[in-house]
Amino acid sequence: MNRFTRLAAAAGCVALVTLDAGIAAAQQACTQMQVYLSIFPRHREDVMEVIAPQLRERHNVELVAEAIGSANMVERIAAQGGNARVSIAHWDLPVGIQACDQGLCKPIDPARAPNTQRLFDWATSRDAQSRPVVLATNVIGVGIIYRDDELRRRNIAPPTSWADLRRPEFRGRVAITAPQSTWGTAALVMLARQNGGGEQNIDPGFAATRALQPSLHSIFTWTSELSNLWQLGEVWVAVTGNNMAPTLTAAGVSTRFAMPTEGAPVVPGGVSLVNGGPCEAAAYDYLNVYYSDDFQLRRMRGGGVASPSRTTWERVTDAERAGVNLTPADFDKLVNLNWSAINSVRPQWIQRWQREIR
Amino acid sequence: MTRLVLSALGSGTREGGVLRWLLPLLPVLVLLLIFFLLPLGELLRMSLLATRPMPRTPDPDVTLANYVAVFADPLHAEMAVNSLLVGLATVIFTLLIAYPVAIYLTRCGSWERTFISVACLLPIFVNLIVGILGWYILLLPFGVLQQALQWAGLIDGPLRLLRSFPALVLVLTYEHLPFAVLILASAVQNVPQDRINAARLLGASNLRIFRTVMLPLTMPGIVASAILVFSLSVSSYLIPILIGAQRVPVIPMAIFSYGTEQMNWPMGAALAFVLLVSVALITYGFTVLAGRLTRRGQWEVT
Repeated sequence: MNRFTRLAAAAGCVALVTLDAGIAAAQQACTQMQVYLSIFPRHREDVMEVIAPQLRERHNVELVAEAIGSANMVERIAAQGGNARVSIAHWDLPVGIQACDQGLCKPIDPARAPNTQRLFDWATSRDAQSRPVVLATNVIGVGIIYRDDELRRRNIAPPTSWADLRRPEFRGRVAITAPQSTWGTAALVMLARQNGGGEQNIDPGFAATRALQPSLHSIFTWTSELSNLWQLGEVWVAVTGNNMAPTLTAAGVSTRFAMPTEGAPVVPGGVSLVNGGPCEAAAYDYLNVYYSDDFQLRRMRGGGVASPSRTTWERVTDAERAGVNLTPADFDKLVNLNWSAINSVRPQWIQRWQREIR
Repeated sequence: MTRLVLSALGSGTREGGVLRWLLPLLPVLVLLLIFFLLPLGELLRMSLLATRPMPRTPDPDVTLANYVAVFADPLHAEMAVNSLLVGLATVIFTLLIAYPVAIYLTRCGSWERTFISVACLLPIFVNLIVGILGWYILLLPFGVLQQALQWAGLIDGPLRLLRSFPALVLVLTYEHLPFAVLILASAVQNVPQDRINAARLLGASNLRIFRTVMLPLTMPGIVASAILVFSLSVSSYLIPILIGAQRVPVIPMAIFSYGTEQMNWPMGAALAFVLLVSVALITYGFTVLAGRLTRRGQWEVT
């Protein structure tokens, strides 16, 4: 190793140590706040354009936002142990509830972020001591989407019920989500509930899925696969989130969402304060801005997501309501599932699905 | 220290010889240690931890329960059989196609050689996902192929081509064919023409020349191709999940499911370790068997 290489290696080590110490010091002094965001259209852009400048102005805090998957968030935050570097995590609500059950969240005090008090009641998930731990960031109902153009052309009535998935005119054209996805788990529980079961007795859900198999074209885990099948004209009816209808329509395929008469399970995104995370004052301000009507309206208009905030809907025009396809008028048809009960047995359901549903 | 190493290298001692041999290998050994052996050790350690609801929960118990579960579960056995059959079938079909192509490649004219080489290499140049999606779209129940068959009156209603064992082997063969052709072309190229001429002068038929001259002399290429294609096929995840999916479950799909969908990293690690050891043993067994079949690894015609 020559002198130059030795010097370069030493400089590299010093730089790494300094950088790490710098980040740690910045977080200790709260000049930097890390947030994990869910992967959703325009989510990071909206947060960085609206919330980041306000936090910089009021708290002198630089917002560092990273969009990653929920399971990855849990893994990273768990790995940080008692020395959390992240202040806020936007995860799928069921994943968030499970993470909070494991002690990864700190309870949220609504008085410190007054805008969170405008949420619908169902939008707040609480821990065993009834303290809020996860707040819904959007409203997504898992129901049935259908190809409006294909059904019209063939004079087929749109589906209106979970039982319609088995209608003979849809045979070979139906796709459902596997329980490996949160939406698929919700649909499985819903099928179980329709047939006398539920979170505690999933057998009827599996029986209903087996009965549905002759009608199935595909079982998918990722919405990207559904998107392909949809645009290729292979599938006309699918069990998925309501936000897929405007997404697929925007991709050029006429798609509508049908809210089943029996109801649709609600699977929203959620946000939590990370237990032991730094910058608590800035984190509460972040939540307050996030749930302000202005920011929620921006998310609805740009990202096509239904807001869980009651007051935001008072400012939405009729045209905007039509674009979102799930409005407060439908909220009473949304079914809240017991995710704590589901999370404890979900891996077994996935394993059973892999064995029984082929 | 540097002086010590240099003096050892300069001396004609046994240590100096070992050091001279080791020094050029050092970068590779360091890379292997950091990026292969250490992660492998971590994988083994994780596979021996008790399954906990959260990843990296502190102080988990050390146990063999994951390995017991791997071997006790009939689904894993089914997946292992599927993986093995998919790997073997892909090797057989790849070799059956690649060998004649390799022979022709070494005997045809220059423009033909260029054309065949480009055609064979195309799957490598095309992005893997794009290549798989091409097959996926082709094999769909209402896709181009089935519509053409239906239009020609050959089928009545959609066939289940996608999500089937033959479709999975077909796509794996397509993806791994270039590797086999390249290796076999090199092996065939190295067969001395005078051996073939001599056999022909002695009255050997084409079949006998192939069996007694070509096959033994190209066996190293065949073994290398088979090992590469088998390993790639057995450990492939993307092609099985998109083409075979839940109807042809294979081990890598279960590893992915445990790691990301069920948050059960220890089980995923145990399954990954079992797959790694199995593939290594099968590969070693195949090499030994091939060595025995070709005159104890002499790779020569006596």
